[in-house]
Amino acid sequence: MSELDERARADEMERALARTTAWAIPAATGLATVTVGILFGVGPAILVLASGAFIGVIGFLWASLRTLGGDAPLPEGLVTAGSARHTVSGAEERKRRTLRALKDLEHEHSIGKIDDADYEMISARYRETAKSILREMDFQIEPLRAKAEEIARAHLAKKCLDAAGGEGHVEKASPDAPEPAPVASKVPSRLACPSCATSNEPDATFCKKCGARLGVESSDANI
Amino acid sequence: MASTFPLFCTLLLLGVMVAASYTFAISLAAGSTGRLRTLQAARFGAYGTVALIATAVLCLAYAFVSHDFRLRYVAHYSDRSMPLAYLLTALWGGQDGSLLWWLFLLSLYIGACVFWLGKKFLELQPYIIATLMAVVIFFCVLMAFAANPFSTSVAGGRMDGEGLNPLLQNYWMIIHPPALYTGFVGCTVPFAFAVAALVTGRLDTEWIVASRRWMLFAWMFLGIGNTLGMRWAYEELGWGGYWAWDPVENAAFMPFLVASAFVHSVMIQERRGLLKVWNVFLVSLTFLMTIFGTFLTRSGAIASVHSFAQSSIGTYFVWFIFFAAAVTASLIFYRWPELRDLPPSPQLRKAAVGAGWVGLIGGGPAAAYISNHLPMPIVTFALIEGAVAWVAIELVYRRLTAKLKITSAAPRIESIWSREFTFLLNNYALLGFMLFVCVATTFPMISEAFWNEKVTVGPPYYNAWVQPIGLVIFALMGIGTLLGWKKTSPQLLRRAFFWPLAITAATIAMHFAFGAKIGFAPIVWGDPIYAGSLGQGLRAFNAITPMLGIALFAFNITIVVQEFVMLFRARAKSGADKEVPSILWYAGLLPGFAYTMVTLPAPSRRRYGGYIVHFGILLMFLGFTGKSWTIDREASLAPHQTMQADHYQLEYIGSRMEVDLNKRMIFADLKVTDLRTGRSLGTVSPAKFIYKKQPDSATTEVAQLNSFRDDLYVVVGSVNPQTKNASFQVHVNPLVGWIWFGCLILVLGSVLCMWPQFEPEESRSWAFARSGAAIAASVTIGIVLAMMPVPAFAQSQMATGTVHIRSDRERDIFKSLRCMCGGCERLPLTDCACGDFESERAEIRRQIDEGLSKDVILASYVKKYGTDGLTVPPNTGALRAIYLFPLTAIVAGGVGLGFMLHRWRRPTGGPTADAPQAKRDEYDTRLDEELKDLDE
Repeated sequence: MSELDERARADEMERALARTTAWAIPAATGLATVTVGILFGVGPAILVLASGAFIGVIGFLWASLRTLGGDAPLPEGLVTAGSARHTVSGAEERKRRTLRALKDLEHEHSIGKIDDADYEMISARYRETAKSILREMDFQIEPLRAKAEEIARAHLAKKCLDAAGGEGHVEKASPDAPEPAPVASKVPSRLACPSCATSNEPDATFCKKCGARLGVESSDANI
Repeated sequence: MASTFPLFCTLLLLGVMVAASYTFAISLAAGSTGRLRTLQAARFGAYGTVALIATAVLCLAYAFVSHDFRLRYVAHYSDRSMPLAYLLTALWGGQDGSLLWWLFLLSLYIGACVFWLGKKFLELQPYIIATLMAVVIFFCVLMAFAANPFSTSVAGGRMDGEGLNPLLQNYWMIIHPPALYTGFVGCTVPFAFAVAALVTGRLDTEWIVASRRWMLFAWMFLGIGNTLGMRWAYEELGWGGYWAWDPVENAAFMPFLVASAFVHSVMIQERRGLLKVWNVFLVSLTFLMTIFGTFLTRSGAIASVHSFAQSSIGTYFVWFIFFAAAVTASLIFYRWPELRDLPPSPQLRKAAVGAGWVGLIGGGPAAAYISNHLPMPIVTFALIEGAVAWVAIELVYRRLTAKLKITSAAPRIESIWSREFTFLLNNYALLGFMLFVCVATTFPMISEAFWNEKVTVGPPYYNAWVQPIGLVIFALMGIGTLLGWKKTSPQLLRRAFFWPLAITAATIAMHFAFGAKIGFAPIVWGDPIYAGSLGQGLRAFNAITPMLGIALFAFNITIVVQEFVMLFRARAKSGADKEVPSILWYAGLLPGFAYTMVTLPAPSRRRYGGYIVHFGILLMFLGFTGKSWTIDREASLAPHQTMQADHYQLEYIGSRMEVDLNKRMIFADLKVTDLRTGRSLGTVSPAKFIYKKQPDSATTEVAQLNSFRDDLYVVVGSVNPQTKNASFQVHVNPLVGWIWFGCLILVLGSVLCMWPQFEPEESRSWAFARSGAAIAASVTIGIVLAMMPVPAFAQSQMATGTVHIRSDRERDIFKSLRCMCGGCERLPLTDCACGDFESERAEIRRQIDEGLSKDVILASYVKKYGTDGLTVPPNTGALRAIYLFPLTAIVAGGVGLGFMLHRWRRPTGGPTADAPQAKRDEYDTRLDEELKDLDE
């Protein structure tokens, strides 16, 4: 445990060092350039600037090699961003395309390029297409959702927490998982925030827009 | 080894190669393993490469400032007497240095791109970095082996250098090349994004959305750079024009055309999912054209005012273009299934790669033949080869998919009367235009290779042919704006077209009624460039272009204004205009307008930014149209004599001489009066500067009086020191000022398109400040780059000055003949002012006086100097290919386009044709939320 702490502290120090040198070296170079320029003329000033750049080269290449070798810590947030990587699915792309078309349509209707009857008809058609894509995406993700709930329940059971009331309070499986389709009648409806009236997910604790605490139904709200 | 400074600097260059190769290798590793750690290492490597290039450039700067004449480059382009500013200017004065400058700009772009990428687009990043490093390696190899700026002369260091050509020590020459380079080099970044998309197979709109701002930025600077080039030619060369269809000008113009086509066709892919292959092809073509343009400028393959001494550097470029094209083509073939929305089975992939390469190689024999003789006209063949490969693959695919019963998931277009169709036409017209210019530019090489005939393609050829195509594009610009993305009903079409057509008709009527009276006649007859019916046909069309130009200007400006009126009306109706603080409207209309534009949601901002760009372009078109009414007058005046040009009267007051450190200046003062109002407009003082270092070539300093209507452009030819008699050439150039103003509007529109996005949760003012700073920073950096002293690299004798023309007939004949003095390149006899050729001009004048016909005079000139003595290739035999080939290609393209449209049409009467029930369910809420969040 302490080894991990030491490691974490060393990483933090290294990141702090990197942040400092990131502005310190350019600042020092700039200062030195100006000083030498005033004292000795343009030529030597350019040499100082070149030296600063050269120090930068050494720094960057050294950082690169250390990162490659595994000694240097990665920047914060990179790993999180990396885990959010996903393959692009055809359905996602088609959905975006339909959404763009709908947005264009709305705009052209708002400035009067399309009249109301045309707009209703074409917009309905595109909305139908978009909805069918959404349904298709939900359908594809449903078995994975079920699997994710299974894994989460198992994990909770291992942690000896009461997962009996867990249905409907389970965390979302992935960032872009859709809300549960209203197939089961006992799935609770969406929560409205008392402060800003934004519609929130049924299992949310805090409002996603203003952060106010939402009324929680069961007393064993967890996670 | 690194014992001397020059050797150390050369080692730096090799070091860049090492660092870039290292980064290239580990970024490929990062791409294939997907490890973030390796990617981070690649990012650091990229930063290190950038810093190393900066070091090398700074060392060269130091060499100049410290007068280190051991370096051949420093000795050639500077001397001890030059002030500091010009020393830094000379840094990029020659070929080797300008390559280092290219590398430097590329490194700035790479640094900015890697920084901007940050934690975004992690899948594409490795391959983006790898592609950029590959280009860096190419330029390093080029410099290390062919054009090392740090090489030393065998004779050792000199006492003093040769100094910079004084012709290059002026403002416009300083800012034009860097602005253009910023545009050229910028096209590398979208190319890198496209290659990354191809390699990773993420071929939907991700790479397009990611690279959008980069492409816009590069496009904007291509526009600025070209306009600055026009400005330089206008201000400095002294012949009164701004564009000579010089091969290097064309080489800078063609990427602009292709990039313009690209920014439009990506919109089709974003909304419809069509044209995926076309878009990757276009962006690769843009990049290859910038490399090709650099090659044309430097290798001396085609003679021009910009040319250098011949060098072996051309071979490197040709190989690089080949290699880049081969790699890109293979990637496109490999990804063909995804690009055509077919399931990516290995069988289909293999079929694509096989058929594609067979097509390329099958179309190659002609290419191989030509490459034996000269550097290839790469781009023409890129288009032909591309078409051949496409046809080959599609034929194979038809059979395969029919056999395997695979259907494509490709989408369909709505209807002919939709914006998609006009964007397709836009691409078709722009690429057709580019093909035309490209063939004409490379035609001297082609005709010499194929038919052993030397020809020259001069401005009269371009001016005659370009006008129809240009006007078609101009018309499409307006029509496309009027049509919506969806099928537009006939009533709406009628309503949309009403005002533009009405105003256009009124303009045409007024033009015919009053045009001639105010000096802007609607029909202006010029001289035919060919004898015979083709020549007469072209001549007839060119005669009505003034009227068409003004009519289309009225058409387009009404359309743009109409769009903004509709926007503001809609905002008033919906109450959205309350969000703009009303104080901004009272402080002149502009701040309110700017605030409204900037606070629009992103897709709308881009749309209206695009309209502003169109507005800028149509102002430039107005300026180009003005050329039809140019008036040229010449006179030799004694002091106090007057001459008249159009509505200006000029009285020659006298001449005076001033001397400074490096030149003698001879001014001639003229008082200008406007004959319409009788008002005095002040004094103009054209001059001749005679530099001490180059006493034989005096430079012409033009004097101008600018107004909205026209420019009075005065040049002094020579001043007799005893009698003070002076010869003047006066041009009245109508509407030229609108070109420069239009470019400014174009820049503003582009900036609006590139405006960064607000985060809705942040406080408005902070977000505004942040994004304002971002825009200000990038535009400032761009302008600083543009203002940095960077002259062009032509140290050749560029004679500026005037040619005495006695009559319109003489002008017509001189315009058709090229000056063969060997010093200037390609200039017609009307413009080349070198003194060596006066005897020949005298001979021709004698022939004119004898009453010989134009054809006889031209024929005798050809007998003496060959067919390349003519500015227009003769309309005979195989030489007709110069226009027949592009026209045939354009027609074939049109047929192909029609065929594609037929395949893309949504089958009518399908199940989606009737209006479904508008029943709201839970998905509608989700849909509305997603629509709200959509900001692309």
